[in-house]
Amino acid sequence: MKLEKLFQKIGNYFDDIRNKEDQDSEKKEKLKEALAKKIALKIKRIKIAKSRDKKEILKKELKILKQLQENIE
Amino acid sequence: MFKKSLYPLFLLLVAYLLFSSSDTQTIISGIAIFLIGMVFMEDGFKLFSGGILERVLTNSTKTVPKAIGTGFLATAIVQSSSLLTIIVISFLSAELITLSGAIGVIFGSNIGTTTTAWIVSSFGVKIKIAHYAMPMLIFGVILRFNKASSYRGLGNILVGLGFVFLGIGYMKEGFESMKAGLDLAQFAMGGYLGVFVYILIGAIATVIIQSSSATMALIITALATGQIEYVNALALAIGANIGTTVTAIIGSLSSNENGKRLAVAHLIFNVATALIAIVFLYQLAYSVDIISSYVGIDEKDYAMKLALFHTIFNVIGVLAVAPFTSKLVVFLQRLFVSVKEDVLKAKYLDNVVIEVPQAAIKLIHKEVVHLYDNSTEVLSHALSLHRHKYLGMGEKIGSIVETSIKPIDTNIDHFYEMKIKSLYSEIINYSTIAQDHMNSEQNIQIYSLKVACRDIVEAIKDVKELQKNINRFMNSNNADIKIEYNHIREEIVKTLDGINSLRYKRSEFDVLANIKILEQNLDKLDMMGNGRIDHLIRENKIDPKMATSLINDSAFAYDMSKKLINVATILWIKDEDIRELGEES
Repeated sequence: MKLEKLFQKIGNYFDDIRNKEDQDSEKKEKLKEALAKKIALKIKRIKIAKSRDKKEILKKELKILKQLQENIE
Repeated sequence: MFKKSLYPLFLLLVAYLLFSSSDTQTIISGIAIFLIGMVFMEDGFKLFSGGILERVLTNSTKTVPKAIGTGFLATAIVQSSSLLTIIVISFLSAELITLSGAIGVIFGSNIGTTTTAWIVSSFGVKIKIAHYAMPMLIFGVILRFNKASSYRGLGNILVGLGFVFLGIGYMKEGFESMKAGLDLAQFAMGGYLGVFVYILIGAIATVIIQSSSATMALIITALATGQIEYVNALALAIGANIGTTVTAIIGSLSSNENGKRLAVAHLIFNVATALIAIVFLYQLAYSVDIISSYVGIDEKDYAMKLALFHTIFNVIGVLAVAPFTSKLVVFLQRLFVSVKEDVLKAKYLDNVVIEVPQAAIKLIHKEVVHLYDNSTEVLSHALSLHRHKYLGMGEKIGSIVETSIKPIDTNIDHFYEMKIKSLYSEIINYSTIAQDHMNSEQNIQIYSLKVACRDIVEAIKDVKELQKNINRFMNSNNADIKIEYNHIREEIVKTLDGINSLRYKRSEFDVLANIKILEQNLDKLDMMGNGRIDHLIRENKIDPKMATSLINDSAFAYDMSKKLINVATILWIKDEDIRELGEES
C-alpha cells in the first residue's frame, strides 16, 4: 500500500513537471505570436513615418524586437 | 522611572491578593479573563471587518453630529473604545479625517462604551452567563483554524466574547462567596466625601486595569452581589471615566501632536462630564429612578440603574461639550502646534486596502513611481539641469547640456532627508505589512518594487559622488575635461529622458525595446572600457588626477544609469514573460 502511494506521488510529480512544461510552451507560443504582430506593426509604422529621425528610432526598435524574436526561437 | 519602580510593587500586590484569599483570586482571575476576552474581540473585529471600519470612519465623520453617531455605533459594535481611538489617531495623522471629526468620534465612543455596562447588567449578572461562554469558546477556537480571515475574525470575536462572559462569571462568583466572609458594603461612605473617595478608587482601578469596560464590569458585579452601595457605585463609574483618560494621556506621550490633541480633548470631555455628574449627582440619581420606572427597570435592579446612569451622564457630557467643538479644536491646535516640515509624504498608500493584495500592489506601484519622479528632480539638479528644460527634447539634449553650466545650489543630503527617505520608509513599511496577506506570486511583485526603491536611493547616492566634480570641471579651463564631464551629464540626462518617455508607450514590447536601446547606450559611459580616457592620457590632454576623477565618476554615472534602467524595467514592464525575455537577451 505504501509502495503504491509512493509510485502515485512520483507519478504526480512527473505530471506536474509535464503540465508546467505544457504551460510554459503555451506561454512561449503566445509571446512569439504577440511579438510577431508587434514586428509587423513596427514595419508598417516605419513605412509611413514622415521624419527621418522618427524612422531611425523605429528602425532601432525593430532591430531589438527582431533580436528578441531570435532569442525566443 | 516611576512606572519601572511601581511595576514590581504592583506585581507583588497582585501576588499577595491572589494568595491571601480564594475569593480575591477568583475576582482577579475574572478581571484577567475579561481583559483577554477584550483583546481577542479587538483582534477579531480587525480581521472580520477587513477595513470596513476604516472606510466608515473616513466617510462618516464630515460633521460633528455624524462623527458622534459613527463613534457611538462603532464602539457599541466593536466594544473597544481603545481600538477606535488608535484608528482615529492614525487617520488624523494621515489627514483622512479632520480634528473636529476625530473629536466627535471620541465623544460618540464615550457613549458607545456604556453599552458594555448594559450587556453586563442585563445579561451578565442575571443569568449564568459562564454557561454560554464554553460553546462560544469551542466554536471560536474551531473557526480560528479556518484559512479565511473573516472566519478567523469571527472565531476571535467568539473566543473574546466567551472569555468576557467567563470573566464576568468569575467576578460574580468571587464577590458572592466573598460576601459570606467579608462584606465590603460595610465600607460604604455617604455624602460628598464618599463620592470623592469612590471616584478616586474608580479612577485608580481603571488606571491599573487599563480598561474602563473591565472596571465597569467589576463595579456592576460587585453592585449586583450587594458588595457596594448604589451611590458609591455611581461615584466609581464617574471615576472609571476619569481613569480611562489617564491611560489615553500616558499613551499619547510618545505620539505626535494629533495623538496629544485627541488625548487632551478626551481628558477635557471626561473631566467636564465628571464635574457635571459630581455637581448634579443626586439629581442625576433621581432622574435615573424616574426613567427606570418609565422603562420598566425594577426599583431594586441597581446594576441596570447604574448602566442607565452611566449612559445618561455621558450623553449629558456630549450635549454639554459638543457645541464647543470648534473652540476646542482651535484651543488644541494652539496647545500643540504642529512642526511644519516640508517632509514629503506618501500620496497613494491607503491603509484601508492594505489587506487587499491587488489594490495594495497597485498603490505601492504608484507610490514607487512617485518616488522615482522625486528622485529625478534631485538627479537633474545635481547635474545642473532642470527637468522641464530637457524632458522630451531628444537630440537637442547635447546642446542643452552644453549651455546649462551654471551650478544649481542643491543640498542632496537635505533633499534625501526631506523628499526621499520618508517616502522610501513609508513604502517599505506599507509593502512589508501588505505582504503578510499576499501569495508567493504577489510577494515577488512587491519584492521587485522594493528593489526598485533601493535602486532609486542608490542612484541618488551615486549622483552625490558625481556632483562635486561636475561642478568643478563643467566650467574648467581645460576644454577636454569639460567636454568629458559634459559627456557624462549628457548621457545620464538622455537616460532620464528615455526612461520618462517609457510611461507613454502603449505596448510593453516597445518599452522593452527602448530599455534595450538605453542599455546599449550605457557603453558610452564605460569610458575606461571604450578607450576614451586612455586616449586623453596618451595625448596629454588631461593630467593624471583628472584622469582618475574621470575614471571614478564615469563608473558612478554608469552604475547610476544602470540602476535607473532597472527601476524603469520594474515599473513599466509588468508582464513577467516580457521582462524575462529582456533578461535572456
